Formats: sequence, structure tokens, C-alpha cells
Amino acid sequence: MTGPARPPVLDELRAVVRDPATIPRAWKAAGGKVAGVRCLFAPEEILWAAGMLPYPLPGSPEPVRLADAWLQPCTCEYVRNLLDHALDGRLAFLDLLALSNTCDITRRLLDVWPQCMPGTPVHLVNNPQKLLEDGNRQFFLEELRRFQARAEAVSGKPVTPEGLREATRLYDETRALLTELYGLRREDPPRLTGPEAFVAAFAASILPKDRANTLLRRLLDELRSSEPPDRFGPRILVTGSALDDPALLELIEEVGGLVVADDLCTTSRWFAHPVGTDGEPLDALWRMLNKRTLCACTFPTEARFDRILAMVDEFHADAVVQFNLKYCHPFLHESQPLRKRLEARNVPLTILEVGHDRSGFGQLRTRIQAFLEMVEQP
Amino acid sequence: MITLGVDVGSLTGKAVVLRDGEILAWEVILTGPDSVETATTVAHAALAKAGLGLDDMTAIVSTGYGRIVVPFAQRNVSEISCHAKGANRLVPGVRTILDMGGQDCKAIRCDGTGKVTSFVMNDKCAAGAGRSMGIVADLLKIRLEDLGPLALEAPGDGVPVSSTCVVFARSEILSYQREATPKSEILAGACTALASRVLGLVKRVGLEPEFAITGGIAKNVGVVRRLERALGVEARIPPEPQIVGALGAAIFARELAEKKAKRGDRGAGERRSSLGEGGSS
Ligand code: SF4
Ligand code: SF4
Repeated sequence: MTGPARPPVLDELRAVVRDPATIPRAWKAAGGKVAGVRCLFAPEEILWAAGMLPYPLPGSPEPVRLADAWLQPCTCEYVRNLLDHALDGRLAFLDLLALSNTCDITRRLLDVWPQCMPGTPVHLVNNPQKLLEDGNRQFFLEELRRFQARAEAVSGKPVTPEGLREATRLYDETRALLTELYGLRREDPPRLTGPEAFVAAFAASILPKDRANTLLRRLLDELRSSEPPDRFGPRILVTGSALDDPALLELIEEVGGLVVADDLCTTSRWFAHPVGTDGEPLDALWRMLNKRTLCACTFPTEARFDRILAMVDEFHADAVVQFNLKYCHPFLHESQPLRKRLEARNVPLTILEVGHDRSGFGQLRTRIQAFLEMVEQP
Repeated sequence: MITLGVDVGSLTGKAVVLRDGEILAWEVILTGPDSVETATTVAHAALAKAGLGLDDMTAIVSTGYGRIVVPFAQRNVSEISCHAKGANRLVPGVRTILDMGGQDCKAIRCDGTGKVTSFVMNDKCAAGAGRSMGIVADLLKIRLEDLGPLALEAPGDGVPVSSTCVVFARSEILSYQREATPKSEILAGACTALASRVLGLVKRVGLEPEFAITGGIAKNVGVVRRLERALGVEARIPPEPQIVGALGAAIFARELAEKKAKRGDRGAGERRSSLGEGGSS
């Protein structure tokens, strides 16, 4: 992109996303323990309070090689890619794999992972999928306690209420900073590009949160004192599967769109809800998790659609792109209901099936460009 | 005002020279390995027919899968928008377009001005696209242009041929040949497979007449008749179905030039369009 210089701290954040594994490796080298987390219902606060580094397990854009011996080729390309990492030793630093009761492929890692990476304990948080219900409190809290006990057993460090409150405060700060950062995209032109915002949020999810918060504060400062890039084009909201690679957002911006908001498991869904410090810390965590209807594997679905529509308004989006990672069923199932909701509001939607290894980007470019032309022609 | 539209497709390169909305000249050539060269050759061939040069063009727009590398275009527009625009000119009242090109296939809905209102594209595999017909013609050692009429000689839908994978289809056809199945039966089967594959695309965008078929396959009556039968409507085939995208690009070039002239030097203040300028980035 030409135009005013971009905030220098972005380079640091980009380096994290480009080679994420350096962060857990450094943590290990300093004597710490690392827990891989998939996805939104194994609370990172508990892991952090137990002295571990929660790591969101980014994949890499390359064809699946080894994992096809363990999972069918018609399953989530991201998870199969991750299994490749497990199989060829790239995740050797993991001390624990923390899973949620979400999509089938994530859940079934409970069986498959131990075969691929024997020796790494795997824990599944059996979260309820029907949320926004007070009735699940006892059950869910019990699951969180079990998760806490497992974290303590692996790390060897007990979780105290103070420690958990401290962790929550730290994470809430990351959430607040990212919310503020994303808010800058309401402007026209937005003060940061779609790929930049994604990189900032994703890097923050990978880094230890004290470090992340320092960098995010610097980014906010640098952005406030910089010129917004002089850009124009249809304003796009991107929603969909777990995205661990800015390439798709870069493609949308390359053909003339402005990605002004994203509703993704790896970014805004992850930081959307603060936990708060009211009451007993585990209870506060439950209250937050019970609101996380943002994951496509939870209900009620309408709550998620409401949020997408609210984001369309808040960020003045002209159109929505639903990104479906290849063979990600939870999001495919909601494509048509989402279309109906958006159509009723006259918001154009396009649904893109995207390969995790970036295959088919040539045709994708045509689809996106044609969609933007359609949105933009008067 | 004279404008040029260049469509660099996977199988053929097309160029249309437009003067005040009328087609002055056009050309279709086979695509070589180098898209820049294909674009340059076909543009110059069309211009030569009109006795003109690149310098005489007020604006040039490129389209097709090679659209982003055309060095002399001021702007590139997706083939989807261009086909709608071009079909709107050639087929009055068109609302649904099926474009069957060499490598992919798309169903497009548009309004009365040729603006796209929705579209779907086939998946990555070339089954259901023009190239699969080339493979069939090669296997049966017939000329591509004879394929459609020959297929019509079979009374029914022909023998079953895979519609999802060109590689499967190829081995099926080879075994039919070994069993001495008549060529017309095999060709009818291949046309049926192609038609059923693209039928889904048309149904997904929803069919509203007038219905036009563009792209190279529009010349294949074997496929066209089967599609018409399945959809229950008559397909309108533009006189030169292959140049519809290039024509659309030339019309976009004209609109671009008109907009620019109207805007004059009012400059940057207004909210510009990303489709406005910005070259063939
Ligand atoms: S929707 Fe997102 S959070 Fe939910 S299981 Fe899938 S990737 Fe994880
Ligand atoms: S929700 Fe989709 S992207 Fe996420 S892990 Fe499950 S299948 Fe993969």
C-alpha cells in the first residue's frame, strides 16, 4: 500500500503471525509450560493463572500431508493441517491440549490427538452448546473446576482466586485494547486496514498478554498520531470459520474492498466479551462463556446473526463476505439462514469456500472482484 | 469515442473494438502460455481489422482470468460483470446468463441495465467447462465443432458419463470405445453430463427469462438443446457468443471514459469508486 507510513509496531506484530511458534518456544526455553487451546470454551484465564502460556494453535498455509492417514480428506482443512504439525514434531513444545465441546472435528481430536502425539495430555471441556441459559450454571462450573484441576496437575502450580482474578484482569485489558483498536475502523477511510487489524488481534492472541497489551498500546498511540491511509471502496464485513492467515483479507483489499470489520473465532469473537471482576472469579468466567454464542457450534444461532447485523450498522458495512473454510460444516450450515437475515436488511452477502492452503485463490479473486463490482455499481 | 475490450480467457483471447457503441471489429485467438502476449496479439489483430492502433483508443478495459496482467489496460473488470454487460447489449431483455468458458462456468443474474444482481461459479474442477469437451473430442478423434451436431444424432441422453470429474469421464469414455459404443451415444452422454452439471448453477441463481448462453460452449448444440429441455426455456445465443465478455469490457471502457470526462478536473474530494481508475494492478 502506498500513502502515509504505517505504524512501525505493525512489523513486530506481523513477525509474530508469520512465525507464531517462536513465542511458545521462547516461553518453554524460559522454563514455562504451554497449553494449546481449541477454541473458545477452554478458558485461557485458567491456564494463565496456572502459570501456563495458552497458545491458539495457528496452522500454516500448506497442503495437508500426513494427517490424511488419520482423518478423512473431507474434514476441516485447518484441523488436519494442525494434525500435520503434531505429527511432524512442530508442536513438540505442547504440555497440554485443551479442547472445547464444539464442532465434531475439534471434539474428536480427543481420540485422534493421543495417537499422533502420544504423551501430550488432552483435556476436553464439556461445555454446554445451548447458551444464554442460567440452567447450565452448575454443570458448566463443575466442568470449569475439572479443567482447573487438570491445568494445575499439568503445570504443578495451584490456581488461587487472586491469581484467576489477576489473569482475568490481564485478559480483559487485551479485550478492551482490541475493542478500541477495532473501533478505529468505523472511520471512513478506516485508520487501519483489514489485514492490519487481523494481524494485531491474532498476534495478541498468540503472545503472552502482558506483552500483547504493551504492543497494542503502542499501536494505538502510533495510529492516533498517523495519517489514515487514503483509501476508498465498498466497506466489507468478513464473517466465518477460524481464519489463521491474513491472505484472504489481503485479497479482498487488493481487488478494492475495505475490510472494516471481522467476526472470526481467531479475532473479534475471541475478544468480544469481557469477563469483569464482579463476584467469584470462576463464576464471572461462566457468565462470560455463557454469552459466547459467537461460536457456530453453539445456540441460539439468532444471537450470532443479531451480532453480525449490529456490526454491519456499527462499522457501516456495505456488504458481507462469509468465509467458509474448506469442509467446515458449522458455518456452511448457517450460510442460507444468514443470507435470509441479511437479505431482509438489503445487505448483499457472498459465500466463499476457501482452501486452508490458499488453493484456488485465482478463481476466488474473480468471485470477490465481481461481488465488489456488484455492490458498488450504482 | 473508440474503446477496446480485451478478454484473456483460459482457452482463447478475445478483443472487441467499439466506436460509439457499435462493434467496429473483433478477433478471437487461442491463448498461448503467455497472457501478456495473448492480450497484445489479439488486441492488435482486432485493431488492424479496424485500421486503428492502441493510441486511437480513448479507454481500454481488460477482463478474463488473465485480466490483471494486460499492460495497456487502464482498468480490469471481472468477467462476470463483463458478460452481463455484453449480453445486455446483444440479447435485449436478458436477465439470466450462463457463461460456459474453457476452464470455468458461471450463472449470472442481471437487471435491465446489465448490472449483475447475483452470480454463482463452478468449483475448481474443469468438468462442466469447455475444456472437458475438447478432451472428449480428442478421445473420439472428431473436430470440436462437429461434436454438438453428432451428439444430437443419438435419440436419448446417451450412455452415462461422469459429470463430476474429467479424469473419470475420460476413463469411462475409453471403456465405451473398447465396447464399440456408437460415437453419437458417447457424445450425447458427454453433453448430458455437462448440461446436468451446469443446470445446478442456473437453478442456484434462479432462472428468469430472457435466458442467454455465452462463451465457447454456446456453439455446441448438443449441450444447448439438452439444457433447454431441462430448463423448459429457449436459450438465446448471441451471434458471436465468445466475444460477449470482451464486448462488455469495451462498454465498461466507454463508461469509464465518459465518467472521467464528466468528472473533469473536479479532483479527489468526492467519494471515489474503487472501480474507477487505478490501472491493471
Ligand atoms: S466456530 Fe470457531 S470457536 Fe467454534 S469450534 Fe469452530 S473454530 Fe472453534
Ligand atoms: S468450526 Fe470449522 S474451522 Fe473451526 S475447527 Fe470446526 S470445522 Fe474447523
